[in-house]
Amino acid sequence: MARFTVRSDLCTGCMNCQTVCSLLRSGKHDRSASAIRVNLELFSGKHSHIYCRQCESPECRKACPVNAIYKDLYSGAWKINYDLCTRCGICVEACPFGAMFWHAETPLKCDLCGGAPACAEACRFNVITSVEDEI
Amino acid sequence: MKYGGYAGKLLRVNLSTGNIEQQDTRDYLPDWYGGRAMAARIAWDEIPPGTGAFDPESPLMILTGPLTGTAAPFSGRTTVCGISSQGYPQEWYSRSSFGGHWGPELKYAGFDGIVITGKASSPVFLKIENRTCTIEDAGELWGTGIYLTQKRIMEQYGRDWRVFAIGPAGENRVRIAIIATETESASGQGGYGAVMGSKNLKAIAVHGTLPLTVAEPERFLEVCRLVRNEAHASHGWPHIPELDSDKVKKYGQRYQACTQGCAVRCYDARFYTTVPAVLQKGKRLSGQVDCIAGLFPGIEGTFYDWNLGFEAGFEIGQIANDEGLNHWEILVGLVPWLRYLRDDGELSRIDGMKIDLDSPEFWSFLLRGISRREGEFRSALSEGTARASEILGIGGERLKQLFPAWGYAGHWDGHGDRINYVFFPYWVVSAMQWAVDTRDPISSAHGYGQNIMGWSRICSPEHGLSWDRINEVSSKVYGSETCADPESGYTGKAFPAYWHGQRSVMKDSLTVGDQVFPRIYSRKTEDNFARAGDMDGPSFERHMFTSLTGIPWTDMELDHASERVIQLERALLVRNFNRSRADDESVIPYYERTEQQTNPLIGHTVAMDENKFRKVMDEYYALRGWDRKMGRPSLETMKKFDLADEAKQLGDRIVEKD
Repeated sequence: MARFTVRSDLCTGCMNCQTVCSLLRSGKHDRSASAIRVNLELFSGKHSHIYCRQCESPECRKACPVNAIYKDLYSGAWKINYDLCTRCGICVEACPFGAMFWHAETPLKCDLCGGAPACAEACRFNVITSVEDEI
Repeated sequence: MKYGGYAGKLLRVNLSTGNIEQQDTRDYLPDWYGGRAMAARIAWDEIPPGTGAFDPESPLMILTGPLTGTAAPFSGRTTVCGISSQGYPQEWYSRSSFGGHWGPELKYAGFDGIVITGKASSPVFLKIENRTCTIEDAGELWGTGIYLTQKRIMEQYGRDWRVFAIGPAGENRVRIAIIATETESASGQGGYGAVMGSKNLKAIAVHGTLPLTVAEPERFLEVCRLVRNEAHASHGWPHIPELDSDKVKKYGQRYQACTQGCAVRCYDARFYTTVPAVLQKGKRLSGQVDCIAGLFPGIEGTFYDWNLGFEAGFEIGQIANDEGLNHWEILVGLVPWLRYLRDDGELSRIDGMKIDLDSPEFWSFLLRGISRREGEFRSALSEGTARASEILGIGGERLKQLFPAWGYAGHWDGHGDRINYVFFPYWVVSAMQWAVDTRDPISSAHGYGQNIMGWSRICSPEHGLSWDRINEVSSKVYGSETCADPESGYTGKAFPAYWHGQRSVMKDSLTVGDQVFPRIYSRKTEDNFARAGDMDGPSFERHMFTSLTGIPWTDMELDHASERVIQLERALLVRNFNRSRADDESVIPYYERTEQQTNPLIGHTVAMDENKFRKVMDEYYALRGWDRKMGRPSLETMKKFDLADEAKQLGDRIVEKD
């Protein structure tokens, strides 16, 4: 797969996507370690999500001064090469969706869990679904 | 030792002195492992006999569990414990739990729970963020509804803050006042809103960014994944209900989790994004409708056949939430009681207004008057229906038809409550659960009566199980096929009441969703016994607990720790309230009335046989290790549960052996 889509209008606010993602990434329940964020609207019910679109031509990659953002050929996800990354934070500023996060003084983005996103697996309401793009 | 899952600190706030302290949660671990369990320990240690619900020293305990706020499915709940103002004939120790997202937020703010004592000299709220807590002035919030209170605090501090608040009902010490968060998540039963109001505490606002650790992250994630996938529906729903397409179009109906972590399409939790108001003309309302709130519009052809219609019913439900009133009491107790009095010709008007249950104006007049203690009649109702009947000197007989015990309206009992479908012999277990409690014993009753009825082909003709299959599955849990057999009568009914007692403690202590656990029946296995990976359904909670916390308990050890809570709670009731078998037996007359539904395998309605039920009580007491005469834990039982020191405080009120 190459990305997932999010139907916020179906979201029930269970937060399972966020808790599972943070646990996978950090070994803890730490919202700031999650690569998907749910903004709950408790009174209107119209929740929204912040997540990486795996853009065709991502702004984060263009902004990176050391070319640390690369496409993983297996999953199709844009990933960060932390060996190259200087933790300058420019990519975090560059993402138009706010989906490049800053966690533990390091940029953090969705890598599609290597091809089988745990958030989509945890979501029982078809809010997050995998999309197979043609390569 | 550091345990995974816990935030690490308990917050202790004395509103009289303004003193705020942080206590290490480990003081209570692992034995009193969270929520209701931890509260029982604190209550035993800190609530002396004679403490009333509104005494400043009476602690209001709001406690999460280790699973709260984690990736464990259905785990967003929080338990409120303390001396209950709704309790009748006396205020006594009880509990109430709520969902939403507040409990998880409290954990992220670094606290497993809050114990509040004292009384502020003027209205205040608590502001809690990342291991800090301050007491803030709530002068401007006092008098406002629960929705506006939340919105104002969120406007001031941020939209990601979560607020647990009381409305005018709690401020005015209405004994059916709730504490609530969001639009439909409330600590509803117990009247704890009034306890909070008596402390001049309007709200508790929380926000946190602190992490929660996990003992075995990989195992925990896998267990959670398996449990999430197996738990395909709530109790008693073999199939997954769909949305109502008309209401989707007209009112924006959608699924909404009633608590963080919920992973099922519940049969009765729905959010509405746009409903035209009837009373507040021109407004469009949004909010959640869970469970009994679906009854506000009225249902034609049932006992609850008033006709408000969906839009007005929705609005009245939201008004009750905002004012801070208990939906269950209103819909299953108070309004049916008024309806009886009207039909009996005893009452036609309340404080000058004609009783018209089809009129939204009447409902608004009734509810706002109760929450604000207006008018003589509605002021009496502010004391809860049971006390109101006594104060007003009317409707005593009708009250006995609707309220099984302890000042609580019927709930999965087959008699007064006519919305839950449960016939003989299943309500025998419910009666036993009611008998030993201080409120409606609903988290036990959901697990047994609701589960069996819902899985039967009577309630689920297409997707349900045969009685033979229900017997096969349930015997794996209860050890005997008589425990769930529709023709078993009183035989085998003590054990389910006993077993679900512990399971109820687990739910309110870990915490996990009452409507989902314990997992017993399943459509995903060939033999219909819930199972996932290497886990049996009834062990799901234990596997989540051990892999999260690192506390290496077996099923039996978690069960024992949970039963220990029941023993300590019972000892507390004996020490502080002189509870005995005579109190327990006070539920019998209610059940001696004829049941509401008919078991088709029997062919006629049944009433309780007092002598046979007393034998069920004998069996139940024997299982618990309580003496048959007084219904109290014996010294031998207290020792078995490592409560010998506590037993000393019970003196000669307990016997050596049961």
